[in-house]
Amino acid sequence: MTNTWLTEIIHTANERLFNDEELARMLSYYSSVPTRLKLVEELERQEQSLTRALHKELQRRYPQRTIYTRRLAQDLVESLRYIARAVLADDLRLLRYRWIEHMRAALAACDVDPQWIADAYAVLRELLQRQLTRSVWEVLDPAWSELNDSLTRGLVAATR
Amino acid sequence: MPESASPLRLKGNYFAEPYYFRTDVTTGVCRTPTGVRICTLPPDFLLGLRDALIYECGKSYRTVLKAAGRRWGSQWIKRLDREWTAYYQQPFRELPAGLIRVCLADAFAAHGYGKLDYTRSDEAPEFWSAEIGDSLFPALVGESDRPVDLLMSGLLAAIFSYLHGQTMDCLQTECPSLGAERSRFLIGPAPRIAELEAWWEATTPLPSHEQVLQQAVATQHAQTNGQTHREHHLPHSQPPLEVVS
Repeated sequence: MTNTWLTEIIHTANERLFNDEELARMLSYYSSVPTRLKLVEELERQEQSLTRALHKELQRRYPQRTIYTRRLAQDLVESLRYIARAVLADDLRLLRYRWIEHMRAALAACDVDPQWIADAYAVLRELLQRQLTRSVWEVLDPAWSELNDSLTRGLVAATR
Repeated sequence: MPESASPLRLKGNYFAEPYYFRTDVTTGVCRTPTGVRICTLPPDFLLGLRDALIYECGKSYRTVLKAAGRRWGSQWIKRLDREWTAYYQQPFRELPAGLIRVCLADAFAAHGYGKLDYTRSDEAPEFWSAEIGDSLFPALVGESDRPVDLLMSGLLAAIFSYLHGQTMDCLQTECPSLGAERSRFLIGPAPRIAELEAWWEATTPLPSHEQVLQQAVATQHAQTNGQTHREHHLPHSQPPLEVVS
């Protein structure tokens, strides 16, 4: 696990003291690490049951959408690993590079309506909200918002 | 790419790991997560290699450099195929064509070869138009009277050959060293590209990508019409054509 912003601070502060702003950010981050670790642990523990539940729920709600295969459900649940990493590192760039940009490009290239993936994530969010505690959900929320914003049609079209 | 009705998969950018290229400074070795050794070839080396080839081979350096790209590409795409197949847990070639395009663009970007994109020609479906933004050799060479992205031509030919399962070739039609914004290529079956390359070499001034594509369409129509014409005029005594499986 690499915390890019923290690494950058440490590198740039190589031969000087940390400034107040840098220290405040680091202290704030370290105080939230236990919650972030709990999120990672819970997501890992629930991965298999989430995949089953997501696939079943997608088939129930959208029976006409053949795109929702078991493998795609698994892919979407596994994408939580990237979200978890970004949350653990408190750096959304990891999520953007690894997941969001690729997903946007892939949806555009495969002519898939991004709304269908947004719908799947909405179902996944419902499933997660039932199982995650509020404090854990709070650390997850910024990454989730970033993901949702990226799935708007305009952004997908812009990557074409 | 082979058209595939395979269901959509979303696994993320395979290369966008922090430290995908990991250097062990104690051994001086850089490897990918699968253990493949990677080394940095600086611009000075690449220019030196090109100059040496021009000096040693004369005009045929173009053939040599393209052949080098082809050999390199055939190994590179095999390695990526193995890695992507493991990553997606299904044969890479069976993924949707759009996803294959995105994966290849990710690979080009991660390795520093530029921004790749390609589309299949509507008018001549056996041809593909590809382009690479910020490609390496044009940036190094600067101005030239001929396109200089020969390594990439060979690389693309090898990649498309591998994915199509037939010998494909690639003709660079536009190049930043000739004032274009990006390198553009036409990829198609080797015999058809050879015909087009001969026409392209004999045409002055050098035709644009669109003109080359038009020529490809025209020759395809001519061949199709010729074939139809011949079929219409088969002597009655000739046996019907057999389908060989």
